[in-house]
Amino acid sequence: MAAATAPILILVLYFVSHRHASYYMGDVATTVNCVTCHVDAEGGGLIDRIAPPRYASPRKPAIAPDGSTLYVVAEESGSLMVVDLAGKRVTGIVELQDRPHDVVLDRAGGKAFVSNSWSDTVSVVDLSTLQVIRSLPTGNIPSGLALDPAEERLYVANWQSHSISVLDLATGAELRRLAGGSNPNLMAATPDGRRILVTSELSNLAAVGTVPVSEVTLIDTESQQVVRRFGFDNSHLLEDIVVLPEGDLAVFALVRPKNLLPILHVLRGWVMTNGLGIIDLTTGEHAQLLLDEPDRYFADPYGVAATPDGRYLFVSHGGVDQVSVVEVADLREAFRRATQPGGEDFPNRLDLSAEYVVKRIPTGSNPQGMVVSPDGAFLYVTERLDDSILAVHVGTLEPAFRIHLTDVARETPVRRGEKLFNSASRTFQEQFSCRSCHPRNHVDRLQYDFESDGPGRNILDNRTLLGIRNTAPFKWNGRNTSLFMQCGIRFARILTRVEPFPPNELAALVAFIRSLEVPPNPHRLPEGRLTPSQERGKHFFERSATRDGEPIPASNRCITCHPPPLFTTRKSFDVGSASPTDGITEFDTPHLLNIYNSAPYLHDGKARTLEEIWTVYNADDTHGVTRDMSQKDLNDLIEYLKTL
Amino acid sequence: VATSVVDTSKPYGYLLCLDAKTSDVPSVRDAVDIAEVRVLDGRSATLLGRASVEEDGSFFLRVPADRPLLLELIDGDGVRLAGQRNEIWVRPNETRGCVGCHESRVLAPENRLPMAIRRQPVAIGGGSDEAGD
Repeated sequence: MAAATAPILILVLYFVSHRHASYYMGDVATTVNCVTCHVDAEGGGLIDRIAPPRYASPRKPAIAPDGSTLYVVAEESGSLMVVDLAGKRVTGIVELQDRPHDVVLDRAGGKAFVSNSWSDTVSVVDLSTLQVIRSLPTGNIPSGLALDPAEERLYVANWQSHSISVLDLATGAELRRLAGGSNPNLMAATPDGRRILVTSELSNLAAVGTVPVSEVTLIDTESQQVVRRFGFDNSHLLEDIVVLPEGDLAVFALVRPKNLLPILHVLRGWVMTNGLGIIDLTTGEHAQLLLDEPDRYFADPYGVAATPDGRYLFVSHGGVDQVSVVEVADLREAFRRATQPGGEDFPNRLDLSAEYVVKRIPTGSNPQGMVVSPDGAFLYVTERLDDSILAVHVGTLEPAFRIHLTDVARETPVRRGEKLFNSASRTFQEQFSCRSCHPRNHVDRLQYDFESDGPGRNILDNRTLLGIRNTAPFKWNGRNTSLFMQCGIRFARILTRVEPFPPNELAALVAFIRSLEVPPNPHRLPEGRLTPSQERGKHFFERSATRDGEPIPASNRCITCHPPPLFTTRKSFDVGSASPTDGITEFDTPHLLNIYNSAPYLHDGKARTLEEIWTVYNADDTHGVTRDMSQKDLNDLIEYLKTL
Repeated sequence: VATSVVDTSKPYGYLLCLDAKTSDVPSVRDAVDIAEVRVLDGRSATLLGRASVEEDGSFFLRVPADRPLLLELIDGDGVRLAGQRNEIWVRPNETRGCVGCHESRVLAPENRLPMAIRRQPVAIGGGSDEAGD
């Protein structure tokens, strides 16, 4: 009997494992087998080998006032890791919530405040007991944090709510919610604590074909009000920010996209350049300066940190695994010239970095947040995808030692794919990475002109990568039947302009993209319940007749082309959305998962809000029947769509 | 090369200049009006064709592939402002983009929608005005 069932069991096991592998690796034959993901060369128990490894993925560090301890936000393991710098080892782990992002300490070093970006909370950690003592609700996807001078209020950048919460730390109540820029990101306070600056990761939504502008928001902590909004033209991905010790200049990392140009080539910063934004807080003057060189690019600048004496500024580049060392005195001089007549072209000058970048320090994979020790002796760099901290000796500007945060030695294809996704190594002159257009694995909310159809033709909105594993085909024209095709040879020909990913790298990259989940949706009630408005909206989404009782053809009902569970038929249709510059009229039906956070909308991004899809671009009822709907009806429909 | 844009079935390629006024050449940089770009055969110096320069300084040309070319800029009075001394060329189906005309080689392009790509490229050296594909 056993002999008879064995072949059947083997067959079943084969098909189940094949299906499991295909789920992550796609539908193209690869060399993946069980061992690839599930055997740890460094040993461990059987369960350890079978279970996915638990990476830490350190994002941001903070350092104790006495310089003895580093507190590191571990994004993937959802924890705060306590690192003893004398012993060079992890001495404690505080379990937090989902995807912690930023950490700040109070001046005494008694408490840590950590934003949990996918839980919409801030955890307050008692550092003497390493216990979470409070959890404070925030807006959607809290990111950067800053304390006011009295340490009575905590400012929280709500990335997806486009707002900044002011939390009362005595009561935990939200005192105010300030309007932020587009996707408020990270924060820095002036030395006296009277001002807080907030970067915006993405640019303001604007009409197609117009210049992207990103905001740095200046807050007065006494009045708890926004006192100024600095707009930075032709920039986005405003990341970490620091105010120099003198208190006069704020400096932050940024990227300058060239999304209005047809992507003819990559040479000479044609697709994007990488640099710094600088604000003079005494005069309000501001400028942008590049960190790139004429034939060498430093993709994805993220972390910034300054030495206490104000001599050096450090900038981590997640895409090229390096830290740029900037001599601040020379940066000041370049900034002075940039703000004077004759400095108009400085934001595009690839030669200026030679004047103020004094060294590039190699790091591990995907360096992100950084901090300088209070005595100025060491720079600590999080190496996010190596689960390590690099210590750089500031006196010599040489790597001093490295601290490993986990003992995971195994690199799964998903992890390898994540490294490739965040690396510019497969782009001409390392100008950009996949992440450069898909920050947080999502969208940059920009539209691009891929030259393959002729310059000025077929302008396309960027599409999210979150939750797309089962939504093939890809590309707005629906021609790419798999992610292998999407990220393969064609991708290299029209975008990266180098050799394509080799098959094993492509498989890993696809495995990573297929592993991406959508963040929790704050518009959903527990247990799938709907508010009365959402319930009414669901009716409109599924209806088969207008308010006057006129039947709506099945082909023009929302639910026909957007059926659950993915809310797409994965087919292309003409819904009257084509623009005069488009070569086709039928476009791939997008999925609607977390559609609330994917603005702008339609294939070319011309609808800045869900409302505009119908109020501006559906005059003839070609994209569902909506002309009979009142404003309230439309609001209800949108309230329902936000829950999907 | 699998990722090459070159398509030898097409006898032409394209040239896109973002802003002719971006230049190190004083006569171009300081010109009040750049009206026209002329395309010459790089060997014989015969005129292959001409195109208007847009108000923002951009021009977009379809030119014969694998053929040495020289460009000249002309002002509104028909005066030659400057001309190339070194030949340029495009491969079949390639589009070459320039930030300016004899501009600094360390200048990345400004992010601005060039007016010239709002219409079809001007065909130089014969052929139709269609984009070709």
